[in-house]
Amino acid sequence: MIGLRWALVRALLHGLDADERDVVLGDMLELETPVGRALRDVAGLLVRRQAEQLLTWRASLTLWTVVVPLATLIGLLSRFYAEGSAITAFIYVDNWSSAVLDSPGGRRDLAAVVLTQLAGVGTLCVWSWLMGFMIGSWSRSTAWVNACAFALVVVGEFLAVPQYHHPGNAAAFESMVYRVALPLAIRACFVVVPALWGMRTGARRTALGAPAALVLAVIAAVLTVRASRWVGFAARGGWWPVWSAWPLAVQAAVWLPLLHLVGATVWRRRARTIVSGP
Amino acid sequence: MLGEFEYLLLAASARLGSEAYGAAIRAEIERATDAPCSAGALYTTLDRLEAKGLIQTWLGDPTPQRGGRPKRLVRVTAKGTREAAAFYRAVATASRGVSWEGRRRRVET
Repeated sequence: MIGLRWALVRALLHGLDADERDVVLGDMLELETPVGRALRDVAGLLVRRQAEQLLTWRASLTLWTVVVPLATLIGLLSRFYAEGSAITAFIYVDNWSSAVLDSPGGRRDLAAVVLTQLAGVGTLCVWSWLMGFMIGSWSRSTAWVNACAFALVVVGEFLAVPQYHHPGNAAAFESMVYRVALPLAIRACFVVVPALWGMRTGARRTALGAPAALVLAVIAAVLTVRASRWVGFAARGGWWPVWSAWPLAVQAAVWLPLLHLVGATVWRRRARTIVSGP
Repeated sequence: MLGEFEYLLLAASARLGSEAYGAAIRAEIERATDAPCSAGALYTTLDRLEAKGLIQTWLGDPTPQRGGRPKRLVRVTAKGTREAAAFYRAVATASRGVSWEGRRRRVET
């Protein structure tokens, strides 16, 4: 337990800049600070430092114009995806019959459903990672605040907004598993975790190497084009504002992090070329 | 005008002299106030005082007892000394003729 708390102290220390991290850790070693107090001290210092950073225009702008809107957007898209997955899971899991595997058509349908679900999960993961990467590279000093805000908005959107399900799907959504557990698990595993990973990567390096960026950009572009139909459905359904240009804005928004990845990579290559000369 | 925590920090730094650094200042403040002093309050106040030109800070050499990590050493500037003296004068003037210990004993009995 103490080992876990020290690990948490060390993780929090990474939120401080390198000089301050060394000084604070040195003070704690010298004073033989108990782990509980060390945890409170580092967390308190980190909160104060992040609060100071939030007062800068760049960090505030990133939080309110990038982090919160993107987290809301991905939360809504994952809501739509979770509904589809719940209905599919209800059909195949709750009403499972071995007859599905007996007929060639049934097997083909099952394979198609599994592939569609995997592609959906992959799309959510790639979008979330790219969003996290963009946020991390734009505002490195407030990585902790942005990470917490992103996770809170993604989970909070689900908890705060009442769910609407088509009456025809009532049988599936009677179950807590499909109504609550599955959507929350999808948000936690395929949105929050990849986004935090992306933020961590973005905070450490503002651009990826060209080969990695190219591969990721191609995968993301294929998945985004493939998902454009359900993004359109998601934009028209749920609690989205009734605004004629809204679906178009949503379609554009899912491309934004991908464009940032490509732009950052091109920019870095150009900067290197200028520094190293022709 | 200084805040009371800022004054405590300046007073501790002045008392410690060349040995004024984060952990020592913290221990000094805790001894004087008999209350815990958080690292967050300490280091953000050091930054604020430095921005006001009341102290100077720099990183010292790493030491083995700190696991090879440096100290953040502190020196009170002339402006810091003037501000601390002014704060002390204000507190002393405001306290003239007031016996807090006497009042405390009367209230408690």
